[in-house]
Amino acid sequence: MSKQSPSVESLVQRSYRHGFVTDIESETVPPGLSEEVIRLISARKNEPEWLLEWRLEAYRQWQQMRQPDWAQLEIEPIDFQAISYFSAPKSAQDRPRSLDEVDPKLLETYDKLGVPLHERARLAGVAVDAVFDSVSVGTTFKEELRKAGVIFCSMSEAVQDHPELVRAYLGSVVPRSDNFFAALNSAVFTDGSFVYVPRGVRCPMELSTYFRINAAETGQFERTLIVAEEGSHVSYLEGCTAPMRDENQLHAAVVELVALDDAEIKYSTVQNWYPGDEQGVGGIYNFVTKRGDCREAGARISWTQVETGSAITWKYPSCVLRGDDSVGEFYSVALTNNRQQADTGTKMIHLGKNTRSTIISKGISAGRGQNAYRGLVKIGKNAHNARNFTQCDSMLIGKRCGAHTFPYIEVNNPSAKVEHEATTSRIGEDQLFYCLQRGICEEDAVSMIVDGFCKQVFRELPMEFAVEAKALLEVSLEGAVG
Amino acid sequence: MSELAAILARELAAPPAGEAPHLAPWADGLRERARQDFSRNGLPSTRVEAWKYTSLRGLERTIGALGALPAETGPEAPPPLVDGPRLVVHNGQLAAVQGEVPTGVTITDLRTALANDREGLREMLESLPTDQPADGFVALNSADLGPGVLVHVAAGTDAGRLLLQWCSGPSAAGRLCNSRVCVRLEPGARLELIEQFEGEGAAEHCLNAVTQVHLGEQAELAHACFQQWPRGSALIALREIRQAAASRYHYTGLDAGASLVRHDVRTTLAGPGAGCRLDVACLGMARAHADNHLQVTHEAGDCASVQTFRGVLAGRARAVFNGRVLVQPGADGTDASQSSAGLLLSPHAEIDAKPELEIHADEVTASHGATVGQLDEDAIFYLRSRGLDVEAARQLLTMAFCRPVTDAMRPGPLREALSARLDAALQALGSPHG
Repeated sequence: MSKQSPSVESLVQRSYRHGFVTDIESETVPPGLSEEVIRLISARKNEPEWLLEWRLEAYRQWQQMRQPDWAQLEIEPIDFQAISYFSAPKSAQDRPRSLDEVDPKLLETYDKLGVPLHERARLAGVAVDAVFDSVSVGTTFKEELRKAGVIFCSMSEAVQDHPELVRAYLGSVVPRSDNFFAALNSAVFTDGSFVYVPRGVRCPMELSTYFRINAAETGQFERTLIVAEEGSHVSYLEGCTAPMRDENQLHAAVVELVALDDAEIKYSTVQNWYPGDEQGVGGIYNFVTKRGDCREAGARISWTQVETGSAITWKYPSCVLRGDDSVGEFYSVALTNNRQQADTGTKMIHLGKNTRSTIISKGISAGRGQNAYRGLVKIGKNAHNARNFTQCDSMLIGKRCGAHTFPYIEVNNPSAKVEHEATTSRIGEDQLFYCLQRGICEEDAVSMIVDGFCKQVFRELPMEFAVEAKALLEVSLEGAVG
Repeated sequence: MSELAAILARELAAPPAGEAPHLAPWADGLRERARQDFSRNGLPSTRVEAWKYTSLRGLERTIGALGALPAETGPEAPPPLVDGPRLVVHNGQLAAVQGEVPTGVTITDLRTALANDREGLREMLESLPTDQPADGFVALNSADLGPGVLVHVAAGTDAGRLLLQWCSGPSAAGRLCNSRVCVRLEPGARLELIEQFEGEGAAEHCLNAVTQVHLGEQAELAHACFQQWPRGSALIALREIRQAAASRYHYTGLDAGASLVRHDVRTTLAGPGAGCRLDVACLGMARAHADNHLQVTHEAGDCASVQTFRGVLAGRARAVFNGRVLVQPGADGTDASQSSAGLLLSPHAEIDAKPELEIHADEVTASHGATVGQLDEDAIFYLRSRGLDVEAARQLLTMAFCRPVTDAMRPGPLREALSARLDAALQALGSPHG
């Protein structure tokens, strides 16, 4: 078990498949962060005064805050003045009206990534709001969505076209001063997606955004806001890859979900950003604040994530179960290989009566990867009959990796039922042996066992994502076991 | 720094004249370093992760000075939990050794041991860090090093049972007493050590006790602790255990009193094949607050550890369980398990659990399970259908809930005594309806 076969090793050493840089002239603001830069971003985006004020207030609060150090992560100091906070493809000022106007090189990039834009998007039945660096450049199916009454556009557009909605909900789930990175995002966010599903509408298709970081030294600060009105339903897919480069790139996104009466939001992520090389050089810093608010009775928010990329992941998609009978779910697969580090998990804050939450977290550590689950289940005083089930399993592959579990359980109501179970073990030797003696090669066997290990999460993913996630995991892991 | 910490730091800096104990020079150095650490960090606040759930505000109200009279005529020690030789520790100081201590066992007042520089004592005392913000009470204890006792069991000795009774007299009111217990079991030695915190004494006082245990190869220590101090009192107890190869350590803790309790039990499995078991039952009522931190560090391979926690809370009581298993690189063959369960009997009680696993080796089996809930209605119904009334059914099920803690003990008078105390304390929690 401890020996690695050479062919397997070569597979582990396989370089990052999506490591290419598209050569498009970017209009980039010089590195540095100040009130002027924020004013510049706001002016470029032609934002109303209130939003500029909002950003400036966030910036002032951010200046008072310290970067958190409680996570089980080793983070090289980040020079926030060395980052460029705005980068837009040249064509931004002359926004393309249709996909035909989009730079063909850009479309080529999406093509390489397998984004089902253009014809493929129609065939796949997926609407895509593709974010290339910081500004949205193409959106499909807008018309069809509009017919259903669903608003799906970039945050910049939403600020222009639906300011009243943005103003009402922006920062209502993740306040400006929520944490260090959320404050930074609030000050400098450049774009992101905005979704509004009106009352009683079931969104006719899966909404999807592919993020792709491109210009060097440009941190990306997306801000996504999804509002589901009473009785509505929406499923949102987020996937990302980034080109290979040597410098660490900071990505501090904020995602806010608001589910009103009986509404349901399903948010799925496949994250495959550049993890850095085997020595831990380069790679994306993925410091994300994601939170959903089940604001009214019967609301339902489900987070599913497959995290295989990034050098460092610091991410806790959470649910505030405010409405009675609301439901929160979190399904996660996090994989760390080489020198990747992940500190990820969720928070389930039960405030309403009969609220229920489920947490299924699968961590896989290989190489020198460090993988930590950190989660909070809090049952408030008035959360009668609240129910939580948590399962976090870790699999260790290799001698030098680490798997950690830091669950916090706070129960304030005697009628609550909270169950938490966690296991940590290496890949089952007897399972491997069984597969081998059935004639299955070691790699396939490992892939199969890992697949089984993650199945509970994969089946929560929309079909096309599940296929991609499975493939991703295989690529990231093959050969990590010897 | 809090007001209380400032007062204590001042008192440490200027000890009363004529009381400066004559100690080995290294011990003076250790005291001084700890004093500086304490002056810098003070007592831990809730901003320190390890003290996140425990506020010392109540303690600040009741405590205003350090130490108490060493030997005073106060209430007698409570009736012993079990028969056998016993040490009576009064206001943190060794007051009496009663009964016949078996051959091979040496009991020394810690001051004497420090003055004579007993073998192995320096290594043991210096191994305890005091410099982190979470170590405030340890720093305080080390800065005031002197009161306490050293128990030494010679190699191969089966020392039987030793009872340690912690009492406080009237002069302890409003004061914080420090005490250090050092236990050293040479290879192959065996001991059953029972700590009893019981009796009236001074209600509003605080004992800050640090117990350090070194177990030689194949040594075996069964360590039980029963605490039922009056409301108003506070107990801060740290137990630091270091285990050599194939040694065994079994801790059974039972808390049913005091207003503020903080237990830290930290074992390090330093030699291959060592094993430990930490079992704690915590019963809280009124506004009691009990914070239990159990930590096992697997340094060597092929070691096994088990942690069990049961909390039953009534009134406005709050219990915290923080279990941690740390598996160091190279500790292959580790088998670690944790189980924690909480039962809330009243709408105002609270339980916080944090069962952590931190694993840096791959040939490891580690698991934990944590639950918080109520008694199973079906089980109550079953018992009622057998003719028990609701109260009796609930009582029985609550007792059964806590039983895993005492059932893991070796059969004998100690287990019986502790089980009886546990059941009595559960009954005292009152009607499970709250």
